[in-house]
Formats: sequence, structure tokens, C-alpha cells
Amino acid sequence: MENKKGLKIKELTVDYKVKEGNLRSVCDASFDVEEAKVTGLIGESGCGKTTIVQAILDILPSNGYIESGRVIYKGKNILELSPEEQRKCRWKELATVFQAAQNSLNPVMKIKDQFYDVFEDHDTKLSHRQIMKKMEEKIRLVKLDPGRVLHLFPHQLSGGMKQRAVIAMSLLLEPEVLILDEPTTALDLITQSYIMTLLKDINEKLNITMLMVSHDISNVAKLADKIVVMYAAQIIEIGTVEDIFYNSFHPYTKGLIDSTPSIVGDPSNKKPIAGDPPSLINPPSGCRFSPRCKYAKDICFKVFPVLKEVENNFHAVSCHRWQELREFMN
Amino acid sequence: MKKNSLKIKDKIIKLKRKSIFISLVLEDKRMQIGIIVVVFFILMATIGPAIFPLDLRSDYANRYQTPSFKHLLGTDFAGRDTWSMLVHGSRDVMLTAAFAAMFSMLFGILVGSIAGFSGGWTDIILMRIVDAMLTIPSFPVMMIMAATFKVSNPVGIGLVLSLWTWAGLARAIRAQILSLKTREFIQVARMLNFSKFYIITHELLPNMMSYIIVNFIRSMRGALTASIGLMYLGIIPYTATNWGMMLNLAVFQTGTIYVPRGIWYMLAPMGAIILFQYGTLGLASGLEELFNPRLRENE
Amino acid sequence: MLQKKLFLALITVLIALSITFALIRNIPGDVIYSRALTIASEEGIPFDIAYERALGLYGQTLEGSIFSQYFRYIKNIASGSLGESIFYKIPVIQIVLKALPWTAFVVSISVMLSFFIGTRLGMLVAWKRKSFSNTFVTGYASITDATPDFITALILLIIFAINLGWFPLKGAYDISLTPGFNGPFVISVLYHAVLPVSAYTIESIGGWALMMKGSAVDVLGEDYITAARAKGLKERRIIRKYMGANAILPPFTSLAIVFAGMLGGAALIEGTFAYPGMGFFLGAAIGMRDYTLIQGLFLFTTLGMVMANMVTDLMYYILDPRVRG
Repeated sequence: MENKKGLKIKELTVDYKVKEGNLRSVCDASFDVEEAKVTGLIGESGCGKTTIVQAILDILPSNGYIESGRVIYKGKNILELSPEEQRKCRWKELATVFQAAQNSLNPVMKIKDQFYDVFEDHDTKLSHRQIMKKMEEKIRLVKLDPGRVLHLFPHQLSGGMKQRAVIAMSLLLEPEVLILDEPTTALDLITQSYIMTLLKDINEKLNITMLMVSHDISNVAKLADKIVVMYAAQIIEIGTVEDIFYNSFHPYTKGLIDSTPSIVGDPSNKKPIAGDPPSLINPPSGCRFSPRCKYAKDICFKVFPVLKEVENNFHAVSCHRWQELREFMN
Repeated sequence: MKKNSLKIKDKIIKLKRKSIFISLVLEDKRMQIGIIVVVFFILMATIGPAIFPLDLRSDYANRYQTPSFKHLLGTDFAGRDTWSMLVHGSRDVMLTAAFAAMFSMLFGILVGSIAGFSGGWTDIILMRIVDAMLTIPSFPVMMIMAATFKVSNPVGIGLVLSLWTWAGLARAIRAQILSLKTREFIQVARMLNFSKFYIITHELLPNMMSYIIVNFIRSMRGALTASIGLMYLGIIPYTATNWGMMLNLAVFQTGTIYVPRGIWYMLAPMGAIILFQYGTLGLASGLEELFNPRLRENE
Repeated sequence: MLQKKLFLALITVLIALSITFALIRNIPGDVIYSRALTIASEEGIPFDIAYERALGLYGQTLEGSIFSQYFRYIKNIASGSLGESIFYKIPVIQIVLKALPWTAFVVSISVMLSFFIGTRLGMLVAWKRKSFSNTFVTGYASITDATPDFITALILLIIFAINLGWFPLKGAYDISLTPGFNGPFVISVLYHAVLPVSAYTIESIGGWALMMKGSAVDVLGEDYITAARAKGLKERRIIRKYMGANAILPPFTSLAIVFAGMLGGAALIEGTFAYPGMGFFLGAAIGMRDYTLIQGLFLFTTLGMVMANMVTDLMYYILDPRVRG
């Protein structure tokens, strides 16, 4: 598929230099974020999903660096662009809604001034009035009142309002791709659901490509067309929501689904996955899930598994034994 | 039982601190310099005068000499050896600073404890006074007090200097007592039957020891600058060996400042002051990092 | 909030007054005695009358209890009479008002200059993490912190005034010129102010830089800075409006303290440069035991501090929208 306006992440590896040594936060990750569709990136805390977001935008903290890999957008590897080109690309093409958006806004500037900065630094050639119109338009899109919100300071907005304002801010330059990192964590359930509906609305109306990163699989599932599952710096499974929930091939994915509580069904059926995530400084050789996997065999401990397509609808899994385990899984 | 586990925890913390201290000494250049400088000056003050005899007789033929083997730092406006004067003066300079810091510490703990324990109106009034004291610039007050109470020895000068500097420590002590009150209220209440003195010495001070030590060093540095400043302005007359007095004589009384070769006589006390302050700063910073590892910058 | 501050200010001033009152009570007897002798011989009056006159000059009257003396003292001050300078024999208020502008001028410029330069340096050093400028700024700050302000002043005096002759040795302006808003006078004032201002500023820049650096490093860890970079904002904008505007708030609260330190050290620096500000006269007055003058100068120094505190509080209120609620 063409996927020119989406993102292709290829063999991305990101390391952090820490006191104890080298922390490999993302290991050889490859997946596609398809244009105009919503891709969910799921994983538990610390699995590397936020690092992928930072790597795509090239805003890693000072002790992080991209060891290898490419991020292809509109035919170019954006990791190889000059800093100035990257800066221009940010927000205009790729925008982000950050985790804990509560703190993404500058506390000493009014909302409208922060929004205005975005236009000013991106050389949009729009007049002042046009800019104001666009700001109001986007604020209305997230169901906020421009007359009020734009003139307030961040501390005067509620949590949900701040989140919506940040979403509006991300849409200001009408980007092609929107990356959302835990957009609804730290909000109450009602607001969460409201914002998810809003995001779905935006995706359908504006045809924006979305990458949604979260640890809450049930939340993302409402929106996503495709889900990418990550564990301990490794991409372990990719598939549609149905694939992941009802037809998963990876023991971890299956374990994850099994352990997620739902409103229907008997909670006592839920089983957590035994064990803890591995250290990323001294990761286990071979498959990272092997220490906890009840199906692990010799090869699992020795060789790092590669993502393989398993069916025609782009379902992929990274497990040595996926074929043998098909029967056990479902 | 709880006491025992607390004691063990204490011991571990002390051991940790010692090892951190040693590693800091080996790594932190500022701390190393600080320790060397402080030791140097302590030696200068204690055994220096015995090694370098003082000769205050005038010898005008030899005045304003540049440094040589005979006169390590040259001579002053009357031909006297600058280095030996510096060495002899160091004792009083440092004693004054030490006394000032000590009195300041005592007053601070006293007032802070009274305020913290009494609460109510005593506390409010004392704290308002403390606030006012912190607002009024201290040096003018010290000038006025030094002029009014004729003092001429390290203890006296130290006392006068300490009269206005205890306010900051008082506030910190009071804050600590207040937090202690709420934290271990029941234990404290029981102990109140023993005596407040017991609480202060056994609960409060050990907790605050690190802060108090750093504060002591900082007080000393401030007192040193203040005492030298007061002598420089001529408000406290003193013997010509005291560093502040040397500067006063040079600038205001003998016109040394205009003599090109007289620069050495001026550089001696200036250099000594700068060196001492730099060293104690390094020491204080190092100790602060030792007691409060959060301050260490992440590389 | 405002009432509490006003109350505190009032107490501060009262304490300052009480200090001078108490000190004046403690004037060593021989000072009054010798003064009485001078008056008696100068004016040819009997000694006991001269002694009473001397007492009055020094603000001490023997009548009434100590409380009534205190009240009379406060009443006098409140009605604007600060007494007469013993040495200069003109009203204290005149001397104070002549000296005040010079100190205010030099100290204000120094505070603003050192704040401005110091915080800019601090921001830069925080943004650029490990670099040569970082070690340079830290080293500079250590050395200037170790050097008392009058020593910096002395060094400047020796190098630039005495040896190089670039700047004048003393005074606030060339006394051959007529004061006023004319060109030569203004230039002379600025010229004479260079060394004193430099002394204060060189001393303080290091402190501001370190303070700002610490604050900026904290701010850099905040999410809105990462978000600002992700938004593709230009570096200069992020440094100034996102990092700088937030990082400057904590150091700002120290402005009053630094101002206090400079006011306190004014005696030393003005003494070194013979600059006729309040510090200079305070030093001179103390030397001459001119108690009425001391009292007046001290009162005004304290008032200056109290006002500086209020001004910084007001400015902080303007700078930080969160305080406004």
C-alpha cells in the first residue's frame, strides 16, 4: 500500500546511557502507521512506547540516542533531516498530544498566546485575522468556547479542558499525522470516554493519521483500526482489534487480554501474567518474554524472534513457536 | 524494639555518609581545595605565630619592599614584615569569626526553641521580630553596635557581630520543632515530662546537625567579612596585624594605596581573605552535598 | 495579605527606631562630657547648662521616665523632625535627602544590571548543559562570592582609578560643574558612577547566574519544555518565553534580599570610593559619633528596605499569573 502520508517505522533501536550501562529502550522495532487510520501502540509501563514517540519526533532526552533505524514519512527518512528541517516538520506534519497534558502548557502564558507562537514560528504566511480564525475553529472542534478559553491561563482550566485544549493545539497547523501519548490517563472515566469519542470524530472528519500510545488496551480498542503490542522494547504482535482480542498468536498478548477485567464476565477468570518485566540494561538473550512464557523452549531463550506475517490481513507476530501454539491459543 | 531498629538505621546512615564523604574528598575538587585551605589557615593561626616571630619595630629604610626570601610578602609602610603580621593576625581574625558563629548559633537555637515550643503569642511576636531583623540590613546595625559597645577582643567583637545574625537559624530551628511536634507528637508529649532540654539535645539537634554545621561555616564566613569590613572602615580599632586593620591603614591612613610597590602589602590581606573564603565555600558546598544528596547534579 | 505586610513593615521600622533609641541611651558618658566642655568654652556659659544642652543635642533629656522619653522620640520622628546633625549643625533630614539619591541611584542600577546580565548568563548556561561557559560561570561565581564587596571595590580602585587613571578617584560628580539636567553634569555623574556600580555588579552577577541556572535546570525538566520543542518552536523563543519566563520567578524573590545586601554594604563601597551616599555618611557619622545623623540615616536605610520588599512583592504579583488566582 502506498501509505505516503503515514509513518513507516523500520528497525528502530533506541538506547539510553545510564550510570549502570546501556539501556536498550527500543529494540529493532518495525511497524506501519497507516494514513488516515488509527493505530494503537500498547504496552505496559516502561516497555518503550513513549521512547518510540520521542524518537520519531527526535526529542529524546540528552542521554538517549537512536542507535539505528529509519522513520519514513512522505518517502523520506525524517531522522536524517537537518535540525532546521526537522523543526519545520514538527507540528506542521507531525503533531503530538503528550502524556499528562496537564503540564504541556506554559503556566505563565495565556492559551491564545501559546497557540499564536505555533503559527509565528512556522512561517505560515497567514494574516493575524486568519490565525485567530483558525484558533477559534480548532477550539470549537474540541467543543470548547473560544471566547472564554483562549484568554485564560492554563491553571484556570480543568483537567478535561486542558486536555481538549492541547488536542486543539495539536491540530492548529492541520498536520497529517497526530501522535497521542496516553491522552486520557489521569482523567476520570467519563471525561476519558468523552475525549475518545472526540478523537474518533476528529479522525473521521479530518482524515488524520493517528498513532495512539497507551497502556490501557480496552480504551484504545474503541478507536483503533490496528493495534501494535510492545513488550520490553520488543514489538511482539501487530493486528486488527479482532485479531488481537480474539485471535492472538503471542502468549503475552493472550495473557494481556486474559488479564484485562471487563464489565461482563467473571472476574475470577482473570489471571495476571506471572513474573516481572526484565531489566533493559541486561536483557535476557533471545526473546524478552521467554523468562515468563510458559511455552518457552530452548530456541526462545537463545534467538531474538523476528516479526513475521501470519495471515493476509497484516497480522504479524514475533514468536518462534507461533505455528505450534496456534491450537493452544484459541 | 523500635529504638533498636532506629539505632541500626542510624549507624547505616552514618557509615554511608562516611563513605560518601571519602568519595567526595577524592572526587570533588572544590572540597579538596576547601579542606586544604582550611587546614592551612588553622595551622597558620595555631602554630604560625610560633614559627614566624613578630617584629613591630619600624624600619623606614626598608619600607614597601617587594617579596623576597627575607620578607615573603614584602614589607609594609613602616618596613615591617608583612607575612609575619599576616600570620599573627590570622589567629584573632579566625577566633573572632568562630566566636561570632558560636554565639549566633546559641542565640538562634535558643530563640528558635522558645518560639517553637511556646507557640501562641510568644511565637508570633518572636517571629515578627525575626522577620524584621531579616529585613533590616545587618551591616549598618553592626556598625552602630560596634561603635556603641566599645569592644576590642575576639570574644567581644564576636558577640556584637552575633547579635544580628541569629535570626535565620532561629527560624529554621523553630520550623523543625514545629514539624517534630506534629510528627512524633505522642512521644514528644511523653517526653515533655522529662524536659524540653532533653528533647532539644536528643531529638532536635541530631536531626539538624547537618544543617547546623553548614550554617556554622556560613556564619563564620559572614562574620569574617563583617569584622574585617568594620575594621576597614575604622569603626573597630585593632592591632596592625589584623587583616582588616592592615587594609584600613593602607587605604585610609598611610596612603599605601597610591604607592606602586605598596601593592604587596595590600595584596596580602586581600589574598588571605579571598583564599580563606574560597576554601570555606568549597568546604561548605561539599558538606552540603554530603548531607543533602539531592543537590548533586545529574551528569 | 496586604495588611499583614503593612503590619510587618511597621514593626520593622519600629524595631529600627528602637535600636537607635536604645543605642543613644548608651552613649558613653565621656562623649557628652567632652561635648559639654566644648560648648561651655565656645559660648562662655557655665558647665551645667552646657551639659544639659549637650544632653539635648544627643537626644537625651533627663526629665521624665524612659517611656515618656521614648514616646517623645517617636512623636518627633513621626512629625518629621529628625533633629540636627551634631557635626554638620544642619538638620539631619537635609543631609539624608542629599545623600539618598546617590545611593539609590547606584544600588538600583547595580541590582538591575547584575540581575539582567546574571540571569541571562544563567539561562544560557542551563540550556547549553556541559560546556566551557558552564565551568567559567561556576568558577567566576565562586571567586566573586569569596571576595567581599569592598575588596572588589578596592581592586577596581587600584587598577582603574589609581594606576590606569581611567576613572575618577572619588565623588559623585565633578564639583566644578553645576548640577542640573545638562549634558556635562549628567556625563560626569555617569562617569563617576562607573566604578561603584561595577563593584556591586561584578560581585552579584555570579550569584544571580547560579540561581538562575538552578531554576532553569529545574524548568527544563518540565513537560511544557519538551512540548515546546515538539511543537517545532524556534530555540530562541523557547529559551526566552518558555524556559526563561518560568525560571526567573524563584530568583526574582531574592531581589529584595540582594538589594538589602547592597544597601548594607553601601557603607563599605561608598567609603572606598568616597561616594557621597548614605553609606558614606553613615560611616563618617559613626566615626564622629554624630548620633542624630546616624539615627536619621539608619531610619531611611530601613525604610528603603521595606519599600524594596513591597516593590518586589508587587512585581512578583504581576509576573506570575498563578498568584493572581
